[in-house]
Amino acid sequence: MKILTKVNNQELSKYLKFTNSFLYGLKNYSVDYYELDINEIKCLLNKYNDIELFISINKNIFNKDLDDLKDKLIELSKLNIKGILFYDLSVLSLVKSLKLDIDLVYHQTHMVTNYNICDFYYNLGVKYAYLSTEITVDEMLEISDKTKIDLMVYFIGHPIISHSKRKLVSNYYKHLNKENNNKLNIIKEKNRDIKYYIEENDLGTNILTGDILNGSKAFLSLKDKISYGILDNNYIDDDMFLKVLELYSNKLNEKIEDDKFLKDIELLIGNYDGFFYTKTMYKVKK
Amino acid sequence: MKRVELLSPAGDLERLKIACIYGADAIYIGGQDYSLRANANNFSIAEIKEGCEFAHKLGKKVYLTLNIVFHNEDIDGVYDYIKDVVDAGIDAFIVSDLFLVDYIKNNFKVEVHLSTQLSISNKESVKFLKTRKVDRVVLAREVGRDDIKEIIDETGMDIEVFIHGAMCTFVSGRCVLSNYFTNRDSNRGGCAQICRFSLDINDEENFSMAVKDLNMSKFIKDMISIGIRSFKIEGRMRSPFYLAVVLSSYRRIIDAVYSNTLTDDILDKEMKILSRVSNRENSSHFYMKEADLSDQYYSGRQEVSNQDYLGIVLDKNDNIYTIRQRNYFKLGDDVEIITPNMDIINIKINNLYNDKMEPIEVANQADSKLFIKLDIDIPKFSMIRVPYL
Repeated sequence: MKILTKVNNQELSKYLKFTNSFLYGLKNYSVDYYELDINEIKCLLNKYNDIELFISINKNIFNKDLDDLKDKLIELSKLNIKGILFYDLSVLSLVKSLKLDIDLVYHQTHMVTNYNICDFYYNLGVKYAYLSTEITVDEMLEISDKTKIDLMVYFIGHPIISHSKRKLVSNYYKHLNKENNNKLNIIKEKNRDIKYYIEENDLGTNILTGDILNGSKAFLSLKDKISYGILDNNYIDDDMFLKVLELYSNKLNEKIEDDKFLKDIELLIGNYDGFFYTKTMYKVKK
Repeated sequence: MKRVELLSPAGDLERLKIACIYGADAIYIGGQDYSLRANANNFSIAEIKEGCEFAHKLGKKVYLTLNIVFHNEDIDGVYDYIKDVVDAGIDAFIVSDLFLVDYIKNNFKVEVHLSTQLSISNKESVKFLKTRKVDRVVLAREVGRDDIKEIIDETGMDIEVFIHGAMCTFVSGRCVLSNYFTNRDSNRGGCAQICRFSLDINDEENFSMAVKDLNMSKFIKDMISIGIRSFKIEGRMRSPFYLAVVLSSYRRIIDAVYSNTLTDDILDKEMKILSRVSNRENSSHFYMKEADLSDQYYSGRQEVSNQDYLGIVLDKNDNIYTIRQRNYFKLGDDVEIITPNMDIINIKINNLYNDKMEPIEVANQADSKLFIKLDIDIPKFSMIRVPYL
């Protein structure tokens, strides 16, 4: 397994001690990613030798986007990009019909939840699947056993939990006749002290967990079964993130015992482990 | 040119029958597993068979939702289940996991419709789905009128869109708020509708993300003109009364479009009916513009219980009608009767009898059997409601 770092800036030197794989969005095409335009991607590739760059194109595509998307995919395929993450089927369709030589990552956020769907995309030539954060470690292990596709798993960060095309925050403040210029807002359920982050941009509204996901125990179970583990620094203090990154790097190089690794990570970011060990339910009556 | 299909939800067999006789051309239902309304009553295999037989006799179709986002544990039983459902007579499956498309198309001669859960929003994706032998695509709710037209014109795919009912605030398939807030899996039928909760945001209370209901009645003529194949009504958990009222309204509008008799007066009347039965504010959302503040619903979950539905005609013996009562009414009340023939008849309640045929003055026991003598001829399954017009 390699560490794939989803970062929110272009200064990569500080991370390079621990990883050389990075994940960004593409300008105007990405939900919940730090976006780069094509020139910035070229600059990064020129500036840093030997980095692997994955680019996420994960917004919902509309007809008016298609011509530009096609151009962007052709340009990206000419760069030394490691792979393109896609949500919308048009990306897959265009890459195939244009016969572009670029690896694809199946990244339908909350819907990459079983081995059959992974195999479906593998059989279409997709190289990687980025598993959903709402399935358990056991489910991930079973997927790993039963599919040939290479897997990516999100271990650290504030995972996205919903995306709307609507401007939910600014609409609400307009309704109140109040100003709100916060980039990041916090919502809370009444009577429960659990917070969520809500952010708005040109593509709409995203909600993220307020707690930092700590998938380190799951990482220990999965690291020999997957290709990339994703660590996301968005809304995490960079010094703290670098310490986490170092610990992961040390663990991958067997420089640290499991117990100490888990304890040190927990001291830094807490112990919120999402759905790695919690199954969701869906029938509330029999 | 094919006429547009009016597609109704049905949460159980009674609703399926009501939908069939109140104007639906096709009905979508959920089985007891694998559908996104895990907590509706849903259909056993025997009920699917009975529902298909009932619908087919009337020339209607039945589609089964198989549109959960599958986890590993859901896979094992699904293949046998699909065979059982095909044997029961289903006309199409509505799926969101693409591995099922290949499986069904390779093994059975039934249609496969792609669920809105996959939020398909452009022609290139639709072209791709055509190569996978998908028969119909239910487009994302966020797709506007011109994009829908372009998709139809350039792909020839059968396109289905929602025309009425509750809307998701978030892009379908891209919301798992329910998982995180309540541990109920939104993509496997457990959605707890967190978008309708009242939350705190920053220092403000009562932040809501809820959106108004969808009501496309005034665009039906235009939607037919651009070639949409199927008009879908949301709500497998809605009541039989709601289905009857909504379906018959849309049936009248659609039929008036085809007979070139749709007037502003007719449309205004139907829009009034639809607004009344929905009991929430409504909007056309993304059809003609980007959704904005006017499409949000900031009054929270305050819709009051609707007591418009007074009773349903179960049987008729000469001029004595057997009624199953739903809500309070009394002698002297003016009421409306809606019929499966799409008629709306205004009458005054002049007599009422209990189940022993003793005269009574008020009907105040929900679900009780009553009798009414009427001098008009109305069919079984007609419904009595408070006057809307």
